[in-house]
Amino acid sequence: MIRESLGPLFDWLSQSSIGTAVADSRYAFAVIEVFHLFGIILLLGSASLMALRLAGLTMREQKVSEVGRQLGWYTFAGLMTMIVTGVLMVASIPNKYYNSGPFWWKMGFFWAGVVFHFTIYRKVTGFDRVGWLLGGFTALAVVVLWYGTGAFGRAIGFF
Amino acid sequence: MSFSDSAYMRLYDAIDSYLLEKCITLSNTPVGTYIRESTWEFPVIEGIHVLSIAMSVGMILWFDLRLLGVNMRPRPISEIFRNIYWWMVGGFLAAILSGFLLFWAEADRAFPNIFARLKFIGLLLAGLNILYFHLGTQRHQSDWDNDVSPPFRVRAAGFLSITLWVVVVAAGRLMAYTF
Repeated sequence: MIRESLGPLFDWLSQSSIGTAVADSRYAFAVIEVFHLFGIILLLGSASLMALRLAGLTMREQKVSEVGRQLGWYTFAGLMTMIVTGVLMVASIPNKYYNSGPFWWKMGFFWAGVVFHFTIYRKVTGFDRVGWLLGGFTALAVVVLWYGTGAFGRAIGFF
Repeated sequence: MSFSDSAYMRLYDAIDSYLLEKCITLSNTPVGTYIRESTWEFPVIEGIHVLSIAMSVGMILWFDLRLLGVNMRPRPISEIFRNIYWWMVGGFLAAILSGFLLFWAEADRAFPNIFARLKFIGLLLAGLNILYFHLGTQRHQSDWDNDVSPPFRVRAAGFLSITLWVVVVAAGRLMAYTF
């Protein structure tokens, strides 16, 4: 249902000047995808370290909030890089993404990750100490949502 | 005598064709063919490769940024290293193992590829940078372990590391477009 209702957006993207510009260029898509990968590395790298701290597996000398403050900017930068480059990639070949099963799974994991990030994750990483249940749950959610996003993203190229 | 006729170039060509022959043999082994022609195995191995690179490079980034004096400045460098070490090593082992399996399946096409060569050179230089840092620079770590902004040679190692990993990741991704 979500897919069908977003159909007009994909039609509009296929007509947009930015989409056709990327599609017409020989190198643009490849270069944009490299930056998309840099965004994923920033996001997964910072979120993984934060998840390990929340689970009490590393950086126990530092408060959760201290690690959160140091890594938060990188997670945000990774997210923004992924969104900007991701929109450009979709705009260049909207039909391929619209008809790809893994793409919609990726979007499900990604936007669930974004909502989780700006609600529970932000709140929990602001605490000085976190109990094992809340820490473990947040860490698990981070790993499932962001690594799920990465795995389904990679699957778009194959299925 | 032109450069292309020189003894060095002939030696280079000989080594190049010898290694290409070995790569063709490798990719045509039953295991190589099996991975290449599989429906699920190849994509799953590639997925593991990308995610383990994100994990390992994402981890080493925090150490490099601390060496540069950019992030986690109030903490000793040795503390950051101790905390990321095993996670980084685990990620690298998964990346190397999955990367080797991918290479096994497509060695004949990967070996002559310019971006594959760039990736291998980047990996080699990143390895040498780590080796030089551990055997040389790190011997005097107690002098700069707590420095908010460490000495130039320490910051240079961090900068070089980030640059080389950017090259490795970008070349690895661009390989797929030029196969």
